[in-house]
Amino acid sequence: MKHNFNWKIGGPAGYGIKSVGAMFSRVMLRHGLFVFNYDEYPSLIRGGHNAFDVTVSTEPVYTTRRPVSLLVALDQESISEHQHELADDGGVIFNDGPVKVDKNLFPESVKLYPVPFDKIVEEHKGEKVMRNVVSLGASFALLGVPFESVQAIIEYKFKKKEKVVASNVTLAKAGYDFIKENFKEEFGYQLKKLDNPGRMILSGNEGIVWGAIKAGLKFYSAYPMTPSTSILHNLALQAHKYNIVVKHTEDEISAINTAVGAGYAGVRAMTASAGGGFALMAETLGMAAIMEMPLVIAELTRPGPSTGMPTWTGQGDLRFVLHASQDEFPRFVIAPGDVEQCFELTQTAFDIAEKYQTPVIILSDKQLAESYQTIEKFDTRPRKLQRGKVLTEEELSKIDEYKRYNTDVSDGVSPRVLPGTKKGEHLVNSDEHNELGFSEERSDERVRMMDKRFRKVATALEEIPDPELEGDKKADITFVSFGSTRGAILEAMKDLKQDGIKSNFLQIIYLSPFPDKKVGEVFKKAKKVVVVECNKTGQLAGLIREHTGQVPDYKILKYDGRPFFPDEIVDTIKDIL
Amino acid sequence: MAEQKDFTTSYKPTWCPGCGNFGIMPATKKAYAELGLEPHQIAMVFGIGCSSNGSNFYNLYAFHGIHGRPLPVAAGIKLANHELTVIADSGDGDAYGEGVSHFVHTTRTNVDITYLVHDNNLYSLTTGQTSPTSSTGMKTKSAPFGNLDMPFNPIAAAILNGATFVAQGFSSDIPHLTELIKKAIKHRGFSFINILQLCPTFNKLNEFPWYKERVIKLDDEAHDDSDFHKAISQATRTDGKIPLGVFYQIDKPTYGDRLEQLKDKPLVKQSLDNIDISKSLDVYK
Repeated sequence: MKHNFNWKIGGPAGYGIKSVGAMFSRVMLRHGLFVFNYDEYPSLIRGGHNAFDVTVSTEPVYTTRRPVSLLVALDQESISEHQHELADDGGVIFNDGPVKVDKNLFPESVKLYPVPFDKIVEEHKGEKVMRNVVSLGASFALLGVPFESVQAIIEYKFKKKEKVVASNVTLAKAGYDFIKENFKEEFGYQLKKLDNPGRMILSGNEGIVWGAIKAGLKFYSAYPMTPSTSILHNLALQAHKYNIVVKHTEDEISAINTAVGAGYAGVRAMTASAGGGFALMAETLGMAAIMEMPLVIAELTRPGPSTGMPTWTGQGDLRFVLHASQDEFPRFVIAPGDVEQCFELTQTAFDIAEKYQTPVIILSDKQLAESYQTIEKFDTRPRKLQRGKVLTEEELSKIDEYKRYNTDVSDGVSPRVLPGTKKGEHLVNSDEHNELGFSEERSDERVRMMDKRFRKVATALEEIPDPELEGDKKADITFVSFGSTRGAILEAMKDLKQDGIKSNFLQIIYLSPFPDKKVGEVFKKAKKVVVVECNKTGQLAGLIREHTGQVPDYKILKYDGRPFFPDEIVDTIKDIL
Repeated sequence: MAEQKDFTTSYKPTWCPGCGNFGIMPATKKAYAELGLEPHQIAMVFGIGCSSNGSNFYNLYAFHGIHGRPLPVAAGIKLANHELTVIADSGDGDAYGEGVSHFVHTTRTNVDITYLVHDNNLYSLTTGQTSPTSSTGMKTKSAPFGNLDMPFNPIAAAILNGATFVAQGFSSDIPHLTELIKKAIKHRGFSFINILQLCPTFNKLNEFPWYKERVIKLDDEAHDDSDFHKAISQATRTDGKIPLGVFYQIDKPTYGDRLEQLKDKPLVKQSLDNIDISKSLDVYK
């Protein structure tokens, strides 16, 4: 009997796949189990194949695991696309009638559960989309989930719409009963109920949203682009409650410029986009840097180049965010690796942006942005905000002449004055400028101002935390990575440990300024270093080499638009050793 | 009370002798002073171009951004602190070329800012190429055989797309322009003035005598500036005359008026202490 399982549902877009996946996850959460969701969908509203994975575990789980224990096939494509993902002792629930299943394609140990979804829906006068709740009922019957839980989640989902609740409950029950009546043998995977101390399920983007709100975000401007759009949706919903102006601007160029304007006026402001939108923002990124403006930008990567694969994942934008915009300037690039880090590091990003008066990029990707995972409650206690150096009218009255870009600052940060403050009038300038902000092209002034801005890097390197090794102290394998690959690596480490292979993991969170000292040390001490990234050329490995001269023993790279699955990493490590 | 000179910095203007900007800048500063504004109450956002180099010559909160983008910056400033008087200042390349999407869309928002566009029908900082308002056939460095395009009509575009104050001034008529700027700033909502400007160095087609033959004052024609259709018809005249004055003005709630978030006080004055999100997170449980 196994209690950890992977459930997957597939069907055409528009069949309520995501919605039923979310309901499934919520039921697991309520039973005290940990889940990780993964939503595979094409860039379409109708048509095309959708699939939703839910990995369920009795202990914390950090990414989607394979193989699939129970596959629900609402259409034929779900069989052809996903049959190879199935466990040998897994099961397939399929829409009996429209979906034909050839027994010979599966090992004998796989259980097949034909359920006539269409007929059941017809008999109960339901709508076609309700095949999804029939499948939910059927799945839960097999997995030993009491029907009351199904009913409760339907009531939660449809709130007070009594008729909708009633018809959905009827259909879920019909699916549930069909399994109970026709398949008496117990399925090899069964729910094990645990205590639920109030954990939550949410996505990386929701982590960013709540981190931003908690940090005092007052202004958000953006243009929709997958996978950044859910940040816009969520913040728009909270705009009234938390007094945040959320503006859907005409394009990304406007989005970033509006955010810069708001930040200049003194509020905490943010924008976000995918790589394509960020490309449009590139010129203003440099403007914010030379004008020394606080700015937080979230870049949610998807595979490119250009439109690429809009709804899939990748880590191909690392070099892009590090180098976007003309010439050189200090910037922060922070890559959270899970939902909690999204929440925590977004708060940090606002502090850094104001403290250093420079752009801060939060680098995430579709896998982290849109995958939902169970996490412990956020730390919602008040946190002291660092608003940076801002002079008041009183402080200004004690100064002979206010210099916006005073170079006599050892940390590289000259105090700001917010517009509206008496005696603080000045020019902020995208032209190279002198200390007063006036346009200035003299060679000594140029060098002085460049050097002042770059002093922020040295200051930051003193302050930002070094990356830390997680896992076994003496390890055969040291993984090094950034961002969302954290999940697959942590899961792979669990499996390697079971096979007696010791490993540890260095997640580089701050990619700029780069913590070269610590990373160099880890490389020198490690037995074998394996860099893991979702891109074609090993951008992180290249960055490490640039900063430390170190080269990893192996690179595990993936660039098919899918996230890493732990077994892919485990298999490669076993080949290496 | 601040005087016109209080809006002037120590930086020596870098414009050519006879440049229309020497008319527009004093008109603007005079308008500020006559409205009783203090330098610290004004945020003025510039793009890139000859006119935008003026950012160095204004003593106030000046923001010299990048080409085509002053409007979104100005909107961001105004929404973050609506107690400020926010002015965006562009040339015709900035406003109608690089930044035309912001121009069209900002008119739709009716955000309470004033947009002054120095329109000399030419790109002058880059030494004389065709601009969106260059007339068809005009010979420039980028169109030595004559401009093939129709000129952009900023006045009509602004009226059509929802600007609530639309006017046209002339750099050689400072008193008239000063009054227009005062009206534009006093107007609540998006106010826009296209300012016809001489460029003696590069524009040899639209010189002072050329304008003198053509400009007329809307005030002299008893124009009803609350009438949308009359405003459009003035903006699309075919008799070769160029009207100066207010084409159109109408009272409508501003973008900020419609934001519940700003009712209490400006965003920048709202406290960030103890923002409690714990209850909101219950939906994820």
